[in-house]
Amino acid sequence: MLRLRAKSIGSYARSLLAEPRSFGRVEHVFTNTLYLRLGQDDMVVVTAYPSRSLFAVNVYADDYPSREGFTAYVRPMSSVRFDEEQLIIGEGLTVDVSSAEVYKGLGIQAGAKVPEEALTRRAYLLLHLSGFLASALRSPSSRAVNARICETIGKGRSFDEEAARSLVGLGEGFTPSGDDFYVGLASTLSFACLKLRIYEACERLHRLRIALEDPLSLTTWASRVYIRYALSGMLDEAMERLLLNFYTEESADGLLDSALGLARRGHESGVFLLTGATVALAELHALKEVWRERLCNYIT
Amino acid sequence: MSLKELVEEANKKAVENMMEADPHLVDVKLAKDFIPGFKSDMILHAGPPITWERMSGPLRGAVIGALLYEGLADTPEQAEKMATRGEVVFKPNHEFGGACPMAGVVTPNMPIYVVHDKRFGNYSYSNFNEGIGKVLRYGAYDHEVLSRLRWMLEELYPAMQAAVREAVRDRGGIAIKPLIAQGLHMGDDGHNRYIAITRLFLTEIAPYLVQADIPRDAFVRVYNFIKNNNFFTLNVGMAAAKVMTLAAHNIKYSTIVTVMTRNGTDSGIWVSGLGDRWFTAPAPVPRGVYFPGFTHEDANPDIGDSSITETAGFGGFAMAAAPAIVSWVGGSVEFAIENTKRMYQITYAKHKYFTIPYLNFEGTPTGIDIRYVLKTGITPTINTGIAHKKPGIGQIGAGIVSFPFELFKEAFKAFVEAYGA
Repeated sequence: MLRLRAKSIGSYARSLLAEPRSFGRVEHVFTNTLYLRLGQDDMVVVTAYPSRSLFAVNVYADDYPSREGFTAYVRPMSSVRFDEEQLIIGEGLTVDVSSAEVYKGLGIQAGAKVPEEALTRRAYLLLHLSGFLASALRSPSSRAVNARICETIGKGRSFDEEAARSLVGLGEGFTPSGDDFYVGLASTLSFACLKLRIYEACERLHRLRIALEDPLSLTTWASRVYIRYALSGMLDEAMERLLLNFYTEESADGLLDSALGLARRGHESGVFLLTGATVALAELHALKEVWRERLCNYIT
Repeated sequence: MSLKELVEEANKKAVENMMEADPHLVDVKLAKDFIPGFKSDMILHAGPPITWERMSGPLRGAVIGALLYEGLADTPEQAEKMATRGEVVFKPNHEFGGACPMAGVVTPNMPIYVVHDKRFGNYSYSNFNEGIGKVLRYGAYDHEVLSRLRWMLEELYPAMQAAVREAVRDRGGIAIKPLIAQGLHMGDDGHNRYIAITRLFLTEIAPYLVQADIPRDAFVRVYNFIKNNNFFTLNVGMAAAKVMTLAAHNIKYSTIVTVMTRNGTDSGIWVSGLGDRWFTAPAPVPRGVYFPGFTHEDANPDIGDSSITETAGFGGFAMAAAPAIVSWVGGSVEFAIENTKRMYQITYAKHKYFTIPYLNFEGTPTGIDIRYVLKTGITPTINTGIAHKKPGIGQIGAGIVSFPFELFKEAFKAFVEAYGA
């Protein structure tokens, strides 16, 4: 039995685990991350990576057996239960959350506001960065996803159901690249709407929710939940840091670093997350329609 | 064509050129007789541009030694005064088509190798290698150093010049790429392990030394000098790497790095599609193995043009070919292999001609692409000699160092300025 301690637990994960559940099980096992399915469709991620989110439990790196990973201790379909501050996963793993810090997000500094002209410049910077990074992706599937993204944004249809049907589930990876694009898009709109009360963001978020409702059935459970969480404003730390840097930091110095931090997620996931975030920010803050052409000039 | 297509086409061409370049050692001359634009008050050095005031100890030591060598100063103090008063103009080797290791100081009367790329027509140069330890390129300048330099000018230089000219008459010069390719199969990496390549070079040059009909005792001294200096051919290899990267340079839209270098204070890079524009950041201090009596506290920040070897797709990028190198630079055999594997993540292609037996003869990681560096956060990791931070002392060890990420961020911003609109 491997016993680990949680360094951090997301507030949403905390509330999910505390509820009495008819069942919980391990849905996916990776070396450094477990995906737990709770109830009908909720997800808690147990991870050895440091990046936090509202639905994650982050274990201490010191305790974690990095050589063997979770795969040596947990099987898919193992049961999950929560008892007296212990998350018991199958018969091989227990995570003690009793002294974990509850993570509620990074928070926005009161009064922090960047002028609109600066936001436009920052949007263009991200446009160039995300395009530059995306231009380096050489797999046939990433080329196909980028081509599809450009088709949709070129016609101004980023928030249409037709676009969602063509992108959701498209691409390689545990979370398909098309889904990653939507997580980026949705996270940014939900942040701008729910945290900053930007009306245009709320309007687009509403359209996006409707557009994605049916097409979400075209993808995997975990990816579907990620999109759903993004639509409801549950961002992970890297995404939130990017958006805080974009919207509230006086200096743009940290923006490039936080964008790069996001882009490095997974093999290609991060690049598509960043593209999605960039498209949302460009829609909201880039003055000239030429931004669509500029981005697509890089990625197709 | 979209920008993506233009970048891909440009990078493909840049890396293809780099791999297909065909460097030959074709002459040995004095610097003043070859380097175009080289003025008598100039000292060329390794790394990006730097002023005397900002120079680190080893580079200052090398400048002092160079001024003594040229007879422009009688004492180190006089040499320092000359430099302080601005009587010397300092310029990077790379801006004149050269690449020299460590301090990389070149003055008018220093002998240099001339390498010609027979495929693309470019020329490059590098200076003579003095050996390891207390040498000019590590910032030492005492009587022993200057005597050796004098011998190299008076005996080694004419012998090598005569031999190389014989080789040119016989077969157009000495092809360097096959030596490097073979060396990688014999346990060298082409940067800090040069034992096999130097032996191969000696095999090539020896008959021409004989044919050049130099005096017998001079021949013996020259032969033994080469034989006893495992790094003798490093400089030739660097000049070869320089013409390989010259073939890849100045290709519009290309994001491939064509110069990576350091001057003991700053690191610097050039990117093909951005021309001769320098992107610089503070040079880090290498970590490694030290000679007895020295520690990391004594080490100077990274210095030398020798990272041109990694830029061209060998050197530290081929450490998996040279597991024995860890006895010189530290680390483990696993690290040497892992480093090569990591470098694949930031390079555009695998070399067609430089292959690594341990990795099933995979080509070496070739063509550092700034896009991949930004995406992965992995920066080029190389092996290097380590100089004492004070002038006059010399080499104190060898180790591993990674280039600062800032260089590639700045290059990205410049790319956007140049092509983003």
